[in-house]
Amino acid sequence: MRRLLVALPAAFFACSGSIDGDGAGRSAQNPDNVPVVRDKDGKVLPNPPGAGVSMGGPGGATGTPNMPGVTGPSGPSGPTAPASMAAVSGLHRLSVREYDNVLRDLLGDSTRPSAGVMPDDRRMPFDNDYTVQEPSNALVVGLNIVAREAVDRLMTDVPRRDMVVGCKPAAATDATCFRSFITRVGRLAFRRSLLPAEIMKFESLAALGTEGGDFYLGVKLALNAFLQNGNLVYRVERGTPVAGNAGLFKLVGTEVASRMSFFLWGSMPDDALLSVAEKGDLNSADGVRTAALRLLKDPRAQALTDSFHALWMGYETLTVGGTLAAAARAETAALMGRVIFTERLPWRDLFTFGEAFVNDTLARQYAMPLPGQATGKWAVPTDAKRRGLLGQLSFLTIGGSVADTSPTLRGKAIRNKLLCQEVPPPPVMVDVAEFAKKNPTDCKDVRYAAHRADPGCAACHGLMDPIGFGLENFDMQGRSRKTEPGKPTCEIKGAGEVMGMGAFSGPAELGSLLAKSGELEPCLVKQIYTFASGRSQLDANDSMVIDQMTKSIQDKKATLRLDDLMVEVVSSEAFRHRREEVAQ
Amino acid sequence: MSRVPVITRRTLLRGVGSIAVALPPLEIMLRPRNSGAAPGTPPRRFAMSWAGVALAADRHGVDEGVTPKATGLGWDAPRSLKPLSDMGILPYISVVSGLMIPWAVDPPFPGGKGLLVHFNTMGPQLSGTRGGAGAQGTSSPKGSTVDQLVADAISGGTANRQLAYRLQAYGYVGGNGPQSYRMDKGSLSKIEPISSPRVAYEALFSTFKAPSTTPADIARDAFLLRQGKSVLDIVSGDLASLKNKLGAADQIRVQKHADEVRRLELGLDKVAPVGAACKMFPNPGADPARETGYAYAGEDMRGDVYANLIAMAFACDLTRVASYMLTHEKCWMGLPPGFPRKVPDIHQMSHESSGAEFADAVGYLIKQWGKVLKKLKDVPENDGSNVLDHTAAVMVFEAGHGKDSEAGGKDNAHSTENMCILVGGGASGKLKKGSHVAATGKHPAQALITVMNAMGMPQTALGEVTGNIPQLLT
Repeated sequence: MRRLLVALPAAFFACSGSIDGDGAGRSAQNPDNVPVVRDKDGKVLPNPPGAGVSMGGPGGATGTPNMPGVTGPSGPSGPTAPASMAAVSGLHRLSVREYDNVLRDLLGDSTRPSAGVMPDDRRMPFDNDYTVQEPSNALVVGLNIVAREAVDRLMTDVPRRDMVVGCKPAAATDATCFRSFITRVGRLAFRRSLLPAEIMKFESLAALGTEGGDFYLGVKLALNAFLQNGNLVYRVERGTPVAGNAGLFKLVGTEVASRMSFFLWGSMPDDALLSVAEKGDLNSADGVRTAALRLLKDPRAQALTDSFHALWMGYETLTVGGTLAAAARAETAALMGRVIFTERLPWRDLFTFGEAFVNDTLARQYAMPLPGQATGKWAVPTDAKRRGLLGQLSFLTIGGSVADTSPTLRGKAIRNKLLCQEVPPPPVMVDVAEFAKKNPTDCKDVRYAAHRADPGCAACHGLMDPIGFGLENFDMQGRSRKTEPGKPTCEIKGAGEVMGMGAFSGPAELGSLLAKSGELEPCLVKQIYTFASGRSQLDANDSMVIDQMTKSIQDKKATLRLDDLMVEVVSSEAFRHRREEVAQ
Repeated sequence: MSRVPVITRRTLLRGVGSIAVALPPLEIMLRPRNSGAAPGTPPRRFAMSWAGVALAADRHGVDEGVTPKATGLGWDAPRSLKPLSDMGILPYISVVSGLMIPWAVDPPFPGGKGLLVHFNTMGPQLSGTRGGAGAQGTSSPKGSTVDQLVADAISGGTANRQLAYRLQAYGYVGGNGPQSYRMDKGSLSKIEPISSPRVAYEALFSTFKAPSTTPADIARDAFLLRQGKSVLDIVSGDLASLKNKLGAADQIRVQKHADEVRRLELGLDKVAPVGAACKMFPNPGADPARETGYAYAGEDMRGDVYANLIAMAFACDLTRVASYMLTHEKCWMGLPPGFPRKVPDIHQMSHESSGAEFADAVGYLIKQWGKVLKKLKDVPENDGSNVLDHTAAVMVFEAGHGKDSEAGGKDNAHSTENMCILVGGGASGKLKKGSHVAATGKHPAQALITVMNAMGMPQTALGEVTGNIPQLLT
């Protein structure tokens, strides 16, 4: 809290609670009260100050001291982090999302069976923070079940089984075929070639198949052993020690391949990437860049990008359900795909893009002509205020209370999530619930104005509420509206303002305002770094890397493409190294 | 307690390692009670439950929901306790009311908390440790929670040190988190609860097998057992190899994982120490469907399965401790279709619903807890008592009702004044049953210290909190 107190004007702390019944410090989409980052005790780690209205630089490193050797080599896109700035990294367990992706890529199993059986991953906001992962009975038994059932499904699907096995056994005792299967699948499963001793261990399972008179019994047991194996379940990184730099390790090629594939695909490396790694081509920035460009052309990169944004912005789990939720997520995924991958537009165009991908369900919600399709079709939204990501149902469910929109929480969400700014919670001893129930028949703008009339409230609510009011013409289910629910005489003006940026009305103008501000890209850099490192507790070294990356894009924000940024991350020296974690 | 199994048909093999085998429906035929089972004193058991709710909605009194109006014995069930009355277990329930967790910006009090309520009362209550400083401080336990301390004392040689379940399904808005923490050699571990009935069923029954009787079955079972062991041997061996190659922090992670695999592996060889009242129930099958957001995830069915599992595990002496978390902290759980409410989730109801509606929501959670107690009551012991007579089951709530420490209101759900703990069962005659103890100003951890005393533990402290509430004891 101390850093924040230094950063913000005194008036910022004089504000009182929101009038949403449960405080601006809490929201359904952000249940842990975690805007972006918490420490181990759950304490929020605020961002240090930035310029103007910005309360914290997204990098969170302004003012950090220089360290020797932080100026790295210049890549095509500017300076990249050197090996000495490698992040601390430990053993990452595959998240539920990643494990399901591995089942898909290893066995061709697209059922995504793990959710609901394996424990949920904690969102910090990303699901891949290894520091909060803890092995448990729930995990090991869930894994056992998921693995066993995935193998059972494979065994009943003979063409798929044969593809995985890769050879036709001449007999139940066909050791050559079994060894070929073990060696090939084991390399994909462990993301490295198996050691001779490992091959022998897995081959021993063939004997049980022989005893049972069934070659595929051995296959089944081997796959079960692969799918529950620590070498698959965890991303194992050892590397080789870097001379003269204690605790720093250079990753071997296959470890770099795994880092790349889980960052760019959320899944295991394919055979081609492992081959490139084994040839030593991932030891150089150019080699990594070439490999990354190939990965980014794969549909898995598009799915990963969708997951990244959903986790970051908090719409991964929607408060709406059923077909509407599915349509909303499909719309957002389609926007990601078209802007980032198909048209290869600047990332900020996500916020200004003019068309929406709607099926009949979503078109009804948006009061648009029905496309007559269950899958969806691109169309220009009827409501001119609805453009870009901020006008989508996915995003509009964020930052409200259950019953209705909350201008305060929506404004807070924009600042927290999109601008990486910290807004403090309501001060103590202000009865938030009391505000929520005051003058319930008044129109919302009148009630909030009364709230902001309190000079103690005005400062920080002035940073949040006007943003939310600019989105008021859209309800929590993404529908356009002109009056408040249940109050037909309360006309919604929809006039908003982002202090320091300007006035707007509706998601389209807000998206445009934010895009032009240049404030979105630094936040993107911080989030992409956090996601890539799989660790939400950022340290001073992380902050310096983020600062450096932010500076490197300073002059090209308007044209910055997400795929370019991802390539830049993976091709840095730091990405090919790790710093040993200190045991606690 | 000596219990000798007589089972006429082979039982579960689906849990054997990672092998799927088509099996007939489960069935264990047990010899009649007292036939061969040596008489003895039934063991004491313990169950700890957490619900991330307050005791009353904003602007509604706590006595509308949980706190009986009269103290002592013979009180009428308030609205939230009606389900316990309906199940016929109210005489087994004691209510400890008037509890309070002191708070401050930087809590100087033993077991005190910071200003926020949500995510701030589990540590003080379940481990007696104080919460984080400042308005943002959170208070997850910083020491072993009560269930772990009790497990240390009473789990003995049971196959499972404890069971850890959570009623609220995976995937809800609001995320994840355990209620059980274990401090071991200076390292605090979270005990992740299982939130899937079918995982819970398999986890328990993988240690619950009976010997086959026909030569063919014996041979087949032996072959299946070898298969399962072969798979887990490789998994275990590879974890051991992996551990040796890693840094110290990663070694700890791998060792924890390996310990759990080992537990699974050991289960393959176990034969259930079943007895007269030890009965299995059919595999519950697939879990109820789960949608997004606040959608109800079939918690009624889930609760039935967990209640059955806990009761069976206690009856069969597969464990003596159950950590049964009902909801996350700040419970965003959905309620069954048709449940009267203005908003879809329980948390928001505490701020927007009527007193009666919210009391019923709290009552819904109490009912899920009560299902366990009812099952325990229905399981007879050899001495004519029932398992509930020898159990202490506590239900702890995230908040009480009264002064709002974070927002300053006087009559709110965001309060750690007027907190209650429900205590069910008799702990082998050590706990007073059916009593309402008004323990005004006492710390909730003191109620839990008292329950530990009833379990035969000489504890005078839980974390930083000392003292007990003698009126709870016989």
